[in-house]
Amino acid sequence: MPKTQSSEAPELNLSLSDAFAELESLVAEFEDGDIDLEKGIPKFKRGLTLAAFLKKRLQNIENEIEEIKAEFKEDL
Amino acid sequence: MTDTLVPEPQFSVSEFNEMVNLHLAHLGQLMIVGEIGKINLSQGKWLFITLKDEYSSVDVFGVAFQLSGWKALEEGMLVHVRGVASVHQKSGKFSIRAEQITPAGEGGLRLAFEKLRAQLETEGLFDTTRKRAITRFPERIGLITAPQSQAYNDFVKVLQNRLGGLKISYFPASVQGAQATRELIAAIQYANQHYKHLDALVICRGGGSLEDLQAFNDEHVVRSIFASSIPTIVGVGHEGDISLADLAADIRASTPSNAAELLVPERQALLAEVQSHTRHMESLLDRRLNQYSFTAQHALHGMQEYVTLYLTNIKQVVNTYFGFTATFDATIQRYVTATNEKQNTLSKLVDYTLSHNHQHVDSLSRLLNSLDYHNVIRRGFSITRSQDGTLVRSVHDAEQAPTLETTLKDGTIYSTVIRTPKKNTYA
Repeated sequence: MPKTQSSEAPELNLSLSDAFAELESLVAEFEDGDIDLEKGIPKFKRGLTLAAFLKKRLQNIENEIEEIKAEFKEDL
Repeated sequence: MTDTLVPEPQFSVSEFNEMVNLHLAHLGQLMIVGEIGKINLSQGKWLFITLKDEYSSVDVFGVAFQLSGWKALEEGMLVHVRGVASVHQKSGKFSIRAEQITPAGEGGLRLAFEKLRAQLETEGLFDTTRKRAITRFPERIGLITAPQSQAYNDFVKVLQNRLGGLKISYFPASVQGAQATRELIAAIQYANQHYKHLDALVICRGGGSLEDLQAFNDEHVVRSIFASSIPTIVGVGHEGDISLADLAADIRASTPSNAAELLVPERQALLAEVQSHTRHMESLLDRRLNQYSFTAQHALHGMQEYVTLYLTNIKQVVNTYFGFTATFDATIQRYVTATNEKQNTLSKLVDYTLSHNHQHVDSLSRLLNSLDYHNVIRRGFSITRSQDGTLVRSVHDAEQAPTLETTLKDGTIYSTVIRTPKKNTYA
């Protein structure tokens, strides 16, 4: 069972992969240099939200192991 | 007492063969070790082998496609044959019906391994261009290994140390022994049929001899790994050991721990990356803000310069205007003065002219007065007119007028013309 986490980090309905990809995409947009302040600041805020979410997600929570024994052995 | 004669049992050939088979069935599955004396494939389907040792031989029969790795078999190879003893119903010929034939002994295994490796390589099962990448963040992982094994513990432990929150679907399977091949194949196929959503399928076991790793060199196991629609990582044995399963996998790990390392990134590295991304984004935004600030200041400075220049221009225009007005005023003044002067001159000229003319008029008036006929009359002359007022200038005029009117200085005389003798006195 995953450990309970602090409630400060935002709850995003994203996978690790999606959150990382979005953060990297935001950084790439900033690197392009064409971003204006009107759009840049909300995007920066989104980046911070994603970073907080990822930090929480990357904490030392347990992996969940499900054993597929019974159903799988029936095929033998 | 009389002996009861029990009739000697008689069997037809068919019954006999059937009976022998019933007896042989009680032996169950057997494992026989021997050397392949002769091997023959009939019609591409039926495999006939003569198995022998120093003293005896026995026939072995098998269906080729059911015998994993049969192509690696060759004469002189020591093999393990797993099967059941039976006689052929029609011919009564005794043989072992093989369900599995595996090379035995290090030499045989090595030979079979190399042979199968070459064959599968030719078929393209190890082709590196067909390897698939596993997603950078696999979150649903299938694990196939032996229960309570070191491989299981190593994989789970290393995985937990690297990244948490993952879902592992564990398919326990023997990795060694008689059932290993079947269980491994069943697990791979079951995962592919019922757990298609898995990001990766990890198949691993600890190290061992070539014989221990035999299931991972089994042709059917290798083909199942190759056919898996879920990307595979195989980690078998200690570093340095190679199995054919390794070669067929999308990613080859040297050990179960290495499989976990290759599968998921390490959380500290990821946290550092998140931190780096955040700082980088912050620095880029900061740089952007500085650019805006510089641009704004530059624009403000430009505006100030423009306003200053504009005001200077206006001042110049105003100055020019006032300069022009002064010049205009001076010009006007000059014109006014000149006009006044001209007016005076003209006035004087008019006065003079008037005066001059006045004198002239007086002179002329005097002359005119002097010429006035009244004055002439006053001096003693007279004027004679006809009755209609016409001046009588000649005798002829008097002839036309019966009555004349003569004006004198002191009165008028009306007279009647009697005669008009002509005398050219003043002609």
